[in-house]
Amino acid sequence: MSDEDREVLCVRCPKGCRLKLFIDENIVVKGQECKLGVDYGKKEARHPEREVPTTVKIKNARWPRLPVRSKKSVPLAKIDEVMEELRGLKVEAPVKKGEVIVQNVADTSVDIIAERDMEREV
Amino acid sequence: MKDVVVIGGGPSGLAAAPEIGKKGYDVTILERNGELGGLLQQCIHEGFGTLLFDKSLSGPEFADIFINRVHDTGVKVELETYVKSVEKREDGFEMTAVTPKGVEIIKTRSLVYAIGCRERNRFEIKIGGTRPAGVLTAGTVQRLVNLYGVLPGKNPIIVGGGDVGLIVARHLYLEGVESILMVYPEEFFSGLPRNAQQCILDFDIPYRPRTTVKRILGDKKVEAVELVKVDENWDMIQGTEEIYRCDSVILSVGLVPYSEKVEELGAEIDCKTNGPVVDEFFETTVEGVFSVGNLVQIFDYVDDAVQTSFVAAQGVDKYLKGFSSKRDKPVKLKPGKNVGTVTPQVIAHDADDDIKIFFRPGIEKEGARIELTSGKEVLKHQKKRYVRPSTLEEMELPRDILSKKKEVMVDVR
Ligand SMILES: Cc1cc2nc3c(=O)[nH]c(=O)nc-3n(C[C@H](O)[C@H](O)[C@H](O)COP(=O)(O)OP(=O)(O)OC[C@H]3O[C@@H](n4cnc5c(N)ncnc54)[C@H](O)[C@@H]3O)c2cc1C
Ligand code: SF4
Repeated sequence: MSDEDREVLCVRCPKGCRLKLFIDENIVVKGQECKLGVDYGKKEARHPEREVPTTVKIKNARWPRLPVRSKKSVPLAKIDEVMEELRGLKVEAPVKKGEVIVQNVADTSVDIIAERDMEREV
Repeated sequence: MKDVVVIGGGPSGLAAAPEIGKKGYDVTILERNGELGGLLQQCIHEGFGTLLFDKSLSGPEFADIFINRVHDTGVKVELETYVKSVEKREDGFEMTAVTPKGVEIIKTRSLVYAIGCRERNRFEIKIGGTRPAGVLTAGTVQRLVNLYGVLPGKNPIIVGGGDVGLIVARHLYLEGVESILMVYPEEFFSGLPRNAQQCILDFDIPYRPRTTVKRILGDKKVEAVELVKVDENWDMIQGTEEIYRCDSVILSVGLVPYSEKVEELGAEIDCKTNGPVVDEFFETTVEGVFSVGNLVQIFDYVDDAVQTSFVAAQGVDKYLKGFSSKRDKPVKLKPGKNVGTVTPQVIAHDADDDIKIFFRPGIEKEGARIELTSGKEVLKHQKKRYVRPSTLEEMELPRDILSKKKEVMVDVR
């Protein structure tokens, strides 16, 4: 046991496992119902990260917005900057699912990708 | 005459159709919207698929996997097709659908309802006051923001701490509204703890527990609300009223299965789940009519919702083959004192596979013991580290323990 030991909530999926973090030189995670929880717990102990799901404007598509997300999680503290960079952006259909919309968003070395195909519809 | 019509092209319909199609039947999905995916197309956040695919996908990404399966198995899809009514005939079912070509009659031997749920509105929770513009349900706001890029206002108040409200709060925060307040009558957020964490607490969005909206104020547009504190019975505490200025009211006050349609067809409805009573193959009390996904009960987790579709596919196959494994008398499954809902509600077949049941605990408890009992006899028990009402639980029910039983109770102690 060390003072830093704590309980956090895994947010990777709706199960919301309550993880116990045993923090020393190594971080031991307990209480996860799947292996994604181990990775989450380790990150949460030192540098919390979150995924950013949002939308950007899109032209000539079924909807005026294209859902996009960060390919991996970005530092929680950087989310405002990420949003700022996406706000002015406008892409044009067609777009393919998984296509990179912004590279290295807000200097996080994480890309923003499209969540779905969006065909051209004029 | 078709073999199977699946009504609804959300995740549960999309999962059911190819599974049935693979067995060689002629299957058609009828979807009222212009594209497949149901609710998932507006659920742009991640967290879907962790159980089925070991990956955390967004709603559209999850939907895409099943849309591809639909196309690969040759399932027919009719979009912009709204099923208005269904009638039982001697040899199957006859439905009236509004399609882009006009009103059409479609005949089928069996039916799978996958029409999901709807949101509760202000009148169901009795909020008084005027009826100005700017009062919306959270799902509508989610749709507006994520598909159209339209915000409901600059200073919204969100009523109810359910999942849809929590997720919408984050979208609005990220989209840059000036202020947000969330109020809810419970002591804690009623949505999943994960959503409370990553949508509200992560961004320090203000929230007030044990608070509700008494009245909405405003002539043409929302100008303010009257907030009031409530006690643990949710009764308003006189003298705690307070005016809060806002320009829109977003209601996140729960989802209810969209069961009117199956009820019209004569299916029995469970007053606990508000969905149709189903057996272990998700057949309703009307033979040949199956029901899957959020129509059966509200699943917080789409991975669970689509599991109902896989099981229902086996049931449809049995039905169409005319292969009856039904017991003389079905076993009833009932929720105990500390359990809110249980599905399936009846076990109707004799077979040798195990049954998966879903139940929603009525209480929060550490070190819970889950018990299946028949009268005084404990048929099965299982330990669970932690249960709470916001998390639906599942459990294997071995069929052999049911022999000669009439009623089995599921409870948490
Ligand atoms: C805001 C929100 C957030 C959520 N977050 C998560 C999450 O993070 N992770 C997770 O796993 N799950 C989440 N869920 C739950 C998930 O969305 C549901 O479990 C899933 O959508 C249920 O699928 P369904 O197919 O039963 O219903 P739906 O997706 O509602 O699909 C029903 C379909 O039927 C169609 N339909 C209805 N009536 C008719 C008719 N008469 N004729 C023809 N078509 C009709 C509708 O247009 C719709 O396409 C969330 C739900 C909401 C609302
Ligand atoms: S540990 Fe796995 S199952 Fe538990 S919340 Fe995290 S992702 Fe979900």
